[in-house]
Amino acid sequence: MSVWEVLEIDETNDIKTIKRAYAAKLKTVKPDEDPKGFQVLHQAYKTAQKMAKNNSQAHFGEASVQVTHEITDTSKIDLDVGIEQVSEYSNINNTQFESGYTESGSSNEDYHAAPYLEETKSTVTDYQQVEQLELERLLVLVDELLLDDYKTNRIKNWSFITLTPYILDTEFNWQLGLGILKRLLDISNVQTHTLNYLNSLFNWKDDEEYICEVIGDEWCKSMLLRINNVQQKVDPVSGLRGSKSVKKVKKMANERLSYYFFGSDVKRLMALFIDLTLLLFVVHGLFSAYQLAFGELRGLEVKNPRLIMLCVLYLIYAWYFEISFMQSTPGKFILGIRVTNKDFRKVSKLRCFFRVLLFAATCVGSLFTLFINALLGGKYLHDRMSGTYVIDLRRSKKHHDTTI
Amino acid sequence: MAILGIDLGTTNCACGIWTDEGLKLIKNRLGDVLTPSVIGIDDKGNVTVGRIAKERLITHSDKTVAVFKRLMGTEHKIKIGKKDYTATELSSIILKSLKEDAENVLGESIDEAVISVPAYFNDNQRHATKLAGELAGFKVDRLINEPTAAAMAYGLHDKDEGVFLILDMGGGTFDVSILEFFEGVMEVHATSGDNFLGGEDFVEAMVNDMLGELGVEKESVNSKQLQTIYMQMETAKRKIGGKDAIEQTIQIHKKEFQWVSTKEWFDRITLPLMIRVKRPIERAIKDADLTPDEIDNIVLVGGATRMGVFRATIGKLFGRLPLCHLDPDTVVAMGASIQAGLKDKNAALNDIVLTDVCPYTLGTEVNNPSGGNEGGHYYPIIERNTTVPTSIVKTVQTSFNNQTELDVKIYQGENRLVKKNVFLGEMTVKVPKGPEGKEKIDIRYSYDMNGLLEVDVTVLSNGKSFNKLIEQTPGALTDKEKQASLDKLSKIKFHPRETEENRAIIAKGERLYESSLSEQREYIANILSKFETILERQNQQEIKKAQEQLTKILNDLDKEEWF
Repeated sequence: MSVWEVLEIDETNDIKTIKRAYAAKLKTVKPDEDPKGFQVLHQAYKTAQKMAKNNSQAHFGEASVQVTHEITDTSKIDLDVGIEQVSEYSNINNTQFESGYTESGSSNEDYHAAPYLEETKSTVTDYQQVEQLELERLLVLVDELLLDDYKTNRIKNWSFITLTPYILDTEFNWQLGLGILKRLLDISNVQTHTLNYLNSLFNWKDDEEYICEVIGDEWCKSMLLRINNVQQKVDPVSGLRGSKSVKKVKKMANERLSYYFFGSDVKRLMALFIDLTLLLFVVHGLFSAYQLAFGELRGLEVKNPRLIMLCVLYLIYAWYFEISFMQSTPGKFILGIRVTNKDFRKVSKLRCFFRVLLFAATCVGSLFTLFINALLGGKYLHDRMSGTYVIDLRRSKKHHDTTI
Repeated sequence: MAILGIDLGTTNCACGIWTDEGLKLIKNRLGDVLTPSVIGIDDKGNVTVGRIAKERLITHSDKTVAVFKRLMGTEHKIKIGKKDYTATELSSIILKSLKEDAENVLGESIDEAVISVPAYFNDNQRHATKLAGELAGFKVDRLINEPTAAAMAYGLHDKDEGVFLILDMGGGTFDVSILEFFEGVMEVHATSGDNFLGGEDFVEAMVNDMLGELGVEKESVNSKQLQTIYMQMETAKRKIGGKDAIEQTIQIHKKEFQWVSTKEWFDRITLPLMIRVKRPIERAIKDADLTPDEIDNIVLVGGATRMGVFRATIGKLFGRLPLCHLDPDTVVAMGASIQAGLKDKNAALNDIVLTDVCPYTLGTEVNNPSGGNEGGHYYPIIERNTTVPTSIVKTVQTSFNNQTELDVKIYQGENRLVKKNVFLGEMTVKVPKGPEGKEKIDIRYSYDMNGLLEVDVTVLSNGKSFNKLIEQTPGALTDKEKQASLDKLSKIKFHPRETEENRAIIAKGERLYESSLSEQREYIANILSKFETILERQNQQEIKKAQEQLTKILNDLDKEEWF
């Protein structure tokens, strides 16, 4: 179905007809009732508009082809006349326009376009001259200000910039900003708050790369780096009025990082060592306390009660901490390692229970499992079987921050 | 049953309905159309909303809160009194109060609403607004962009055809929309804006600069004094257009300062803000593929556009004067009510159709398109300012051999790196094993009229499809959390309606007492205690008379520009 069939009109270049047809169809195909139909209709409307515009431009284009043809002739002549005078060039352009329009036989209305263009041009140059003078005047003031370090860093002294009527003019703003930044690079004692303030007027930070390219100074980047772009980091809390306090609640399931590293063998062994040492103190403490209170342990068949207690305690301890908000035992936590499920989120209680049991089971093989685990590239037997990952969060975060 | 059109603003709220006789704005319990978006809670859990709470902002600043709309869709908890509230919950309290007012005026229950949001609100913030409506007991099928609402009010009011540029600066947000009105069609061409730029920022700039000049650390000023200063600067901001200089006495610690706010000073310190105003305007015009000459009307909406400096800047930028003959404070509520009427299929509005655009680009994360296995790059699917509802499919493929899972992450924003865009959610899709690039999936983004996104993913080789409405957005609630919120809010009681007027008077009196000195203070304390005695006697006629007298006295005191 062509766009014209969708709009139910004959092909036309008249934008008004297209709009009317679209409006009429829209009364039956409402966006909230028939989203699909609407999308087709709207697409057709946009395409039709574009085609109509292109077509009318194409007509105009034919004329301009002729014009360019004529231009080559006239410009030759004109160039012969004013070959040395570059300033003549703009005049040449104007004559081309005039001659072009006459040759192509356009209506008188079009012909009038030429003087209008000239007129605007002259006002534009006047305006530009005024702006240029203003720019120079301001930059002289800036130079004066920059002679004195103390004055430079008093924001109030910069207020003359804000008073110029052209500050909101894009081109003027850019030129002035560029001029000031160039000058700032030549002096040493510009404080950050001054930079921040000037950045709020000229938005250097937005076109950081481009502006440094234009200036071509190696210090430019490091200077702009000092600016903290307040606008981009507006604290939403800052505007809040009243209330006792505001706190940010972080949900555990947050954005994923770009890449996750598994915890290295060394780090995991170190973590285990830290945890066991911690627990050893606890166990010894408990036993000593017991002995102090009740005397020697008696009637125990087990050879090494302390070791067994240590093992059992470790399992409970691991389970308890790995399902907590820390997501890892204190030893791992210190080293920046976390235990997660396969979605890199906090493990469930049950899964962690299995993990701990499997850890105990695989530990029976002791040296043998150690050997196997070392070959498994960071995913140990009990990790694999319980469907958990042990990740090096610190390293992953670092990687995430540096790559992006 | 009528559908309520609500403007849920940063500083003020208003609501209205479309009746057979036309548009009707609803007055609240104190007889005002505007309800300040301020909430106060006392220790018993009783809630006050609006003008009374605003008066109490100084006297009970730890139990009162304002300007919380900025925290919509974030995970901040705001403590007022003894409990924590999210911005969504606070908004729902306001909505509930508006609902009560409307039901009281109309004499029927209302359970559906159209709520306005800043055009530049992102998906999270829209969800939060919708949720606030639901917590307040509304069915919210439709959110309407504030500038679009304003344009609707203007378009319908003037019956003008042409291209409108709408600049909407409220208390906390700035929105720009370009809208064309022809043959009963309202077509939005482009929106842009700044979510953190509004009238409050001008006050903030004034306060900061003034404290800096006086050499006072902001942190050292206690909250009561600081609130007073904010209110004083607010007053100065409102008056500065008409006068050249405004003199005020500022109290900091135990010292008094004479502070003169001049127009020149104001223009100077707010210039960075005006430069920020300019950028979204330029972007919207560029996105709409227009030149400034092609814009027929410039419409100003929102209280902050009353500022002289704002009007002057816009005049300078476009070389002509903007339109502002509808009340900028209520025009959004009017538009929302019209939309409510449309939704209700009101006969008078039958031949008007509105089409809107999505304000941000929506996309997903892919590997670096110029090669390599480096992730984190943004792949746009729906470009910003596409007309909605729309549904667009893009195909992506596996990036390494034997890949079994694809993570479809959903982002909103304009940066080429996903990290700098807003994360909306994700879903994992399982695909059969195969060499790199063999498995392809179709990702379809569907964006509806309310600005809410749905994502469908289809695996091309086996035709399996996965669907997801955005999950895990910050501020989104599970059913359980939602119920907890509802329970918490249901415990909240509004003060009885009849006593509201008296409470408003007392709150205002207390505020004036706080901010005045010596003799005036005694005078206020005196009349307030007299009023309380009259209230205790419960003689309706006497109370009525006292109310009138006291309102007049307090208004006169208030006009003295904070002494």
